[in-house]
Amino acid sequence: MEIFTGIELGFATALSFQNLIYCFVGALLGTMIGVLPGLGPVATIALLLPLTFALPPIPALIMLAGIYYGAQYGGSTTAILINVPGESSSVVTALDGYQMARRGRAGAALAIAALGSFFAGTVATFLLALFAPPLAEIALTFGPAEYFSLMVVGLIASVTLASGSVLKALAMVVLGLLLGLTGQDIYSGMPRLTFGSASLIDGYEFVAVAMGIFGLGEIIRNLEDESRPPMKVGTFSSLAPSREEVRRSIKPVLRGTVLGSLLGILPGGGALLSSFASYSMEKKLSKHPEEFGRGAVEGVAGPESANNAGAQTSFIPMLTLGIPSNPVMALMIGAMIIQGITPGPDIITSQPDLFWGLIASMWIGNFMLVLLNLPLIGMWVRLVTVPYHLLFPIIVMVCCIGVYSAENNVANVTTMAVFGAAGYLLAKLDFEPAPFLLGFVIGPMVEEYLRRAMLLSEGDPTVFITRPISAGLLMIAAIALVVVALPSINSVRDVVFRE
Amino acid sequence: MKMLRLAATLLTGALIAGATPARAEFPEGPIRLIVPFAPGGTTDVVARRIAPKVGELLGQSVIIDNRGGGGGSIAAQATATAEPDGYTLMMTTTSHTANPSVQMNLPYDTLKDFVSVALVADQPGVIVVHPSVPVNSFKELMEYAKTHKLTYATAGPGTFPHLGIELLKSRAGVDMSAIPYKGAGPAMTDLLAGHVKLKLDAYITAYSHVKAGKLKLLAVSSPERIPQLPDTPTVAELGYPGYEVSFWMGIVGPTGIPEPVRAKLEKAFTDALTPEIRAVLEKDGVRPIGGSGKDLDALIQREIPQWAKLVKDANITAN
Repeated sequence: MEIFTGIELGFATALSFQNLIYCFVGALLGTMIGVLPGLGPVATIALLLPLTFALPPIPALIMLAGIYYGAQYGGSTTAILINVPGESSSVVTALDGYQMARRGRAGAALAIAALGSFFAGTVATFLLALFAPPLAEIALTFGPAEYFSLMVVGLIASVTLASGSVLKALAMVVLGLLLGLTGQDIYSGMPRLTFGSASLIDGYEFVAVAMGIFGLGEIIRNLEDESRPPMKVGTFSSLAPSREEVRRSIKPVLRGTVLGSLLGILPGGGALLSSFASYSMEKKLSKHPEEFGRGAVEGVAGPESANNAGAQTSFIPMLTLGIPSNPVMALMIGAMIIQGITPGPDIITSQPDLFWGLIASMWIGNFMLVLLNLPLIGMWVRLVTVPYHLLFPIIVMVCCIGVYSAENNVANVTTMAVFGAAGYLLAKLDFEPAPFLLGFVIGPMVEEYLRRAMLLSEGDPTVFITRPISAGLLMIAAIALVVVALPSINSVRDVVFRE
Repeated sequence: MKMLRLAATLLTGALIAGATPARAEFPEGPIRLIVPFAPGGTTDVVARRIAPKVGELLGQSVIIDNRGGGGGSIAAQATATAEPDGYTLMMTTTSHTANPSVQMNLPYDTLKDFVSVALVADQPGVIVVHPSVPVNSFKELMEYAKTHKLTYATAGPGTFPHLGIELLKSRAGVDMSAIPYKGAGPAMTDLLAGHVKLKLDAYITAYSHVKAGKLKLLAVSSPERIPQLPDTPTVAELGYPGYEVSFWMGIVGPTGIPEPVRAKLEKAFTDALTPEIRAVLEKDGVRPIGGSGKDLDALIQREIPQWAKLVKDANITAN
């Protein structure tokens, strides 16, 4: 019953005129920065944080939260339309979303992404309202050993992101692992692979790498071959997804929602894995895995739902325990402190209107986002009808501005340019960038958790199998390895899957 | 007519220029205050809380420029190479004095390339342990650490939670293993879960967990007790006199700023801590100081050799 009074209080708070306005402003800003490649929610919330000094706490946090989940909607737009993933979570959306767009199904891909995100967001918010405190306790049972094993599962699954040769995919994963280790080692303080450059001390910026290797690489390929049309623009009547596309999306959306909700709770990088994990799962479960990488609607529906569900449930550790699960949540905690609220386990009882108001605003915000995004689809699709020789300089310019403004750092623009050239070369040689990016993201985390677990166990490697959750995850990893390896042992796979 | 007015303007301008002995009064334009972190952290918040008042006192706006990364060295390099005219300043922190010891090949000289303007504030540290550690006081903790293996969380090598505990280890002669994390957030997560047992944390982020019984607070790291915790002893008074670590925030500029300009900036930054701003900062968990450039100089010159010795003894980096 307590829940119902809570929800009632939440809606009473969130539906006040002022809070509705800030919820809308947040969702709108989130969509806008999601569409602008490079400038992610972290940079935006950071920039806007000083403005919230003057606001009361509840509207301030409602707006900042809106920016965060709004960006999850907006981020898929550029991934689908121009192959530029502006966020780590939309990398996998680019794989099949962009291929759908090239076939003239951009509108359908965008609509499925928005509707899947809405469904996932609603379910995850519901979970947040009902089970936040017990879920947070589960999250705390994940220590370094468990995270290490989880990352191993992710690493093995990353091979399935490729649709071509398994050997080439593995090579890309390893290359990603290697470059991911660039920067100062957090254990010894030693700079690694920086070649003495101060600008590499924090490693390569993920967004710059992803935008270069996907977006710029694709632009170079389009310019090189003028007979290769970058986009087949569908007739406007085909903006809506077909009945078949909707039917094929239902199960991936459901599975993605569950997966994303669960991984999102984990403060140590779970949300990041959710879209990758969903993609791998859909590809394995699909009756026609050969379509993945060529515009399979499941490859958009599952990951987009997963990342939005993860975005909502990643509020759980922050709201119930006062611990940040990602940089955005760290900023939210900063915003609370500025407002004189000490984030911690007592926030539900000491600030019930804040807790429930924020949750209710997420429902409302997700609803606003669908209303906002569906009509925009027509406009976005029209945008790519602009002749390519006019469009590509704009894309390049917007990418440069976005990457620069995220950290006010020119080095990131250089990084993007270098990885753009690399992306072009790799595409020419039939190496796929997705496994590279997953290796790049997971590699440093595998190392971080492995070394931390070993430090805590005083060098005893059995922690990974004596702790039950870790052992279970490693078993899943072993099974996944067999599943991944089997088709490639059967050499027919290569022949079937290669173009 | 137009020509005439122009001539008049020029003439008046020349007269004014002739009347004022040196050049025009500093500052003539906005002042850039570089913050070595992304927005949202304590340092950034403090900078933004005082910037409007400093601007008001100087009659120009103070613009915050966030240059995160490299443990503060990227911002420091930007400051060191800026024109020494007083229009570029940096809000620097404890990492400024630790970086020469923990980072190889810093592209600047921490002692020679900067001039101190003011010591603004600091954030007192608190020593917290997970409830599974069977101690109820700092003394018991030190006893326990002599016979048991304890782990403590840091926010990375050379950060305040790392150096503070290393200093304690060397003063108390106890051993604890450092478990590095990428920032204070993830470190706190593992401390609350009990994967790691101890941490030197900021009062503001630790306090709610202490109140909820999820952490035990044993001592504060500042030289005096803090007003929010009048009953919590300092490490210094528990048998380690002189033990003092705090996360301080001060203003520096590139070497070569003319002394009158530096003095004017110093006055603005110290006067900016009005009773109202002090109250706001205290609410943020920060202790306003309002110290001079000399105070900051003394602090920097005391800390650099202290961290250097500590880093060497504890073998914190591989260089």
